[in-house]
Amino acid sequence: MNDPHEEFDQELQFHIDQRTRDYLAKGMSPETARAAATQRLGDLARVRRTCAAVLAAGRAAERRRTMLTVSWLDVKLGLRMFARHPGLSLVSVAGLAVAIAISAGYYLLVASMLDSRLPFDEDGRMVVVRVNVVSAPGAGGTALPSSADFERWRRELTSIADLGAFRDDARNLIVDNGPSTSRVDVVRVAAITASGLGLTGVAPALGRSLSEEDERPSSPPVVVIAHEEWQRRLDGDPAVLGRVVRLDGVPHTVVGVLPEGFGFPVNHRAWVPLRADDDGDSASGSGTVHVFGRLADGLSMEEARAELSIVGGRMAAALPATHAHVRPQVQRYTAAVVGVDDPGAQVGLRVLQFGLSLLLVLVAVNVSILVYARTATRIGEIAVRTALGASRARIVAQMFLEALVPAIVAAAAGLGLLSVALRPFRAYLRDSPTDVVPYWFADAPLAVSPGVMLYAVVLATIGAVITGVIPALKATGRRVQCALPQFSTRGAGIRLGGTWTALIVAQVALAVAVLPAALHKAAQAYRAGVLEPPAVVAPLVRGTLEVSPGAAAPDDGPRLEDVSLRTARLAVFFQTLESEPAVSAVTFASHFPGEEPAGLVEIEGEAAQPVVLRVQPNRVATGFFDLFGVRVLAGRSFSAADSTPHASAIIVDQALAERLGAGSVLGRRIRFVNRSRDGVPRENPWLEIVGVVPAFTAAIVPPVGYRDPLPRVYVAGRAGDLDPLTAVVRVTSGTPAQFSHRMREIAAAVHPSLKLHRLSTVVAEIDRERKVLRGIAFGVISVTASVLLLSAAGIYAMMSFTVARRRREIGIRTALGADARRVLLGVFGRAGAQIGGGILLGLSMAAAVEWGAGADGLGGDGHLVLPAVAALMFAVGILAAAGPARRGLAVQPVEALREE
Amino acid sequence: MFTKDAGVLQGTIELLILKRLSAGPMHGYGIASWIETATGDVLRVEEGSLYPALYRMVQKGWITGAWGLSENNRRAKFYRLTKAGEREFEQQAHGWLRLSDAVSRAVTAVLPDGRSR
Repeated sequence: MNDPHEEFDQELQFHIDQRTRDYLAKGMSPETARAAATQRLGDLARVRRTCAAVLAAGRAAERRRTMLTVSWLDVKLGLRMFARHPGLSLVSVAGLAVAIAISAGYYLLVASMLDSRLPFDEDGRMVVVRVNVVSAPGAGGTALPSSADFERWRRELTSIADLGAFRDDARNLIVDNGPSTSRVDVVRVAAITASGLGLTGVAPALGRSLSEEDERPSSPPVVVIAHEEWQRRLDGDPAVLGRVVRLDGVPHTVVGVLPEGFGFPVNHRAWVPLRADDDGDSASGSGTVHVFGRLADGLSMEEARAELSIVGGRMAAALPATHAHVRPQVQRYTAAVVGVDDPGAQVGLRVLQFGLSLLLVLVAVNVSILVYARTATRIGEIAVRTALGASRARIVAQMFLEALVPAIVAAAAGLGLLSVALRPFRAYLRDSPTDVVPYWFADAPLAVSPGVMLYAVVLATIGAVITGVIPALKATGRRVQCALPQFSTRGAGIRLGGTWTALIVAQVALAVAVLPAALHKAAQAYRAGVLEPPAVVAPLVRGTLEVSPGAAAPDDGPRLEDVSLRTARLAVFFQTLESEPAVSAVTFASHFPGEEPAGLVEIEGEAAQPVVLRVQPNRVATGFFDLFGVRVLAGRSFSAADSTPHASAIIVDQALAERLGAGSVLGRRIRFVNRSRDGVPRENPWLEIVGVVPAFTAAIVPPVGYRDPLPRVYVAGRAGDLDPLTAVVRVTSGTPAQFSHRMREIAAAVHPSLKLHRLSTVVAEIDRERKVLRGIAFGVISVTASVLLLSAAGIYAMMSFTVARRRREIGIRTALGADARRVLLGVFGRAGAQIGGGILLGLSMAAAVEWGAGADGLGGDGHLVLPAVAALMFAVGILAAAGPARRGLAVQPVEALREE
Repeated sequence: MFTKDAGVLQGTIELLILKRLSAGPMHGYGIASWIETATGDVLRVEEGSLYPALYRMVQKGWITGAWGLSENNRRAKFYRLTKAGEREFEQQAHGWLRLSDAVSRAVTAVLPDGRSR
């Protein structure tokens, strides 16, 4: 008796019967007794309703309890499945972990770019004002406003309070430590309005901040320096206030030190007042400045935009000559500095993020094939549970939870992988020689945050839906009941559909197609990443020499804009360097060897069509080759006459000489091809090849392109023609690093505005590059390995599945006397053909890419890489098929038949 | 004390049921008859409200019901106390005694004018 309502009725009946018996005993007539007994119970219908409601409430509570217990049971079952199928678990976790690490890493990067905040601006109300130049349709872009624009906005704008401005500059900070010793460093200086610096609300650690009084042209020059500079350059001198330092030679009195970690506006190390007379242009208001401010209280970006467009319209009407095509616009501060305030850029970032999430979907679909194959072996279990009353939702929920276990493990592993990968990335950012990383990034370093964890969990859940729910729906969607009688045949009831098979074949093909490029790239990066720098670069120090535009010498001395003057000063600089006792040789070039940008040259010849080649040109000093130990293979090196303006000598490397064909290339003529903005080729003079040198580089060439380095050509140049130029010094005694400071001192002594950027030893520079390359190799190998693993797993699943499904057939055919191996061959024949087809398809795709890429392709390596990849995939296929094949051979005919 | 959400009457019925079942298993009719006898016919249970009370108590886990044979060999559902029911009975009985004691002391107390009622 299971129906509670029926039970209840019986219970009441018993009650009435008993009461009736009592009344009969008291002498009532049977009718009266029954009527009285029934009456005592009251309104029977109401009692029944009340009891039914109580029972229903009880059942609901019971269901909730059961759900909870069952879910916990599912989690336990999921954990057990995870442990019982280690191969599948490993594949799922490894594949999903790499995909989650990549997606979450990119999400982190996007989030830190889009959502970063200045430390003093938690609510993100700091903005910058720039101008859009709309001179012609399709032309224009963002530009900096002029000082005059700034002054006008400062007077007129009400939606942006406390408007400030700064000019960004690099200057030599010269600290005199005695009558003859001084220390020179290049620092990033902001010439900033006092109100703008005050906007940050940051109190100085020492002394005072800038004041409006300082902005007057008649006030003595003052500087506020960063805490780090005070410690590093001024040795934390407690009496720093009132000390005089020189910025590009101009003496400034230190009036304050700003607190540690502060670098507003971007990553600045010293602050001077922004003055109207700063570089001549500003007096007329034509000098450009960066303008920023804080949105007025209670006003939104949109209101600020609206006001700016009105103000912009007024300016365009008042000053049509200069402002007709200028539209001021307001952008969020941090996003504008990082360069992602443009809606297009943001959409681009999000689209790429979506694309990377698709990578996860791809991996998850792969894993779901595997899970489906496993689910197929459990079709009997599913059928039994359905027969026992489990709903489809219940079974699907269970399989989702089973899939969630490896997905969550994968999320954890992915986040672990990400934090390992972030460590060198952070170190790289920290050691970046340029001050491009905004200072607020140092406060919030790229790290796995709760937001990223949440994102990874969301990805894991999506992964679990794909890997768990899809196979479950597929497995329960067919008439599961029909599977019940045959559940001992292990998966015979469902089939691995054509879609799955096509997916596996496509995946094998894709793996084969992308593997050559990936392996080539990884090998190239790894080879370069572990390469020891050549001995010749060990004693070298390099730096980029730059002259500040318009920078004045002290006492209004000569400016270095004139080429001949600059050449003369630079000649003094190099002579002084060479006369240093620690220096054995000095040279310069427009680019450090190995870092030359690409250009085009035309080869003179008889052909009707000009032969144009891509090369990497470099303009070098006459002693350039000697310093790098490069000997001339044919012809001669450069002489002093070759660097005169109308000289026509050019030296090519062996790679170009070989491209030019057999015979001596000396005396042949080539010329540079460049085009003016409207696409018309410029007629450059022909240059005569006077020498051939070996192909060489002294830097590590990052394998950014899918190609070998281009041939190089060299022309001689004067130092004065090159701005900036790369100076290279060979140091014979002491460490090269120690010499860096001396180099800056010499530069500043020759002219206070001569600055040396990126000053470091060549070895240190190469080391940095090598770290990046090893990172690239690691990344590419991780992704490649997970693709290989998934392909292998797909093949394995397909093979296992085939064996499981055709177990009975194998048994019967073996029982009828067929040789088991031949039977197996027949069974696997189709699968094998599919794998072979996949490999062939992939190879032809790779070959097509290689053929299309021409010289940019794999080159000589291609002949090795393509067959190697095919062999690798084949081996992977064989290995993956081995297990299921063994199981197939082990099928006992009698057992297989008994299962029927 | 009585359970928080139960009215006095419902709480009283539950306490009386618990009391009866503390002596051993009994069916609904037996419980109703015992209440009448034990209260000297003062408390006549509205029998219709007895069964919802019993079902609620089953759901709370204080009692369980099982089919058995009555003294005249009829199939009847017998209820018995669970461990939780025993604890509940102790608690409710203690609360009721304190309450009724307090109320009867107040009712029989001598008023300021010297009268006792």
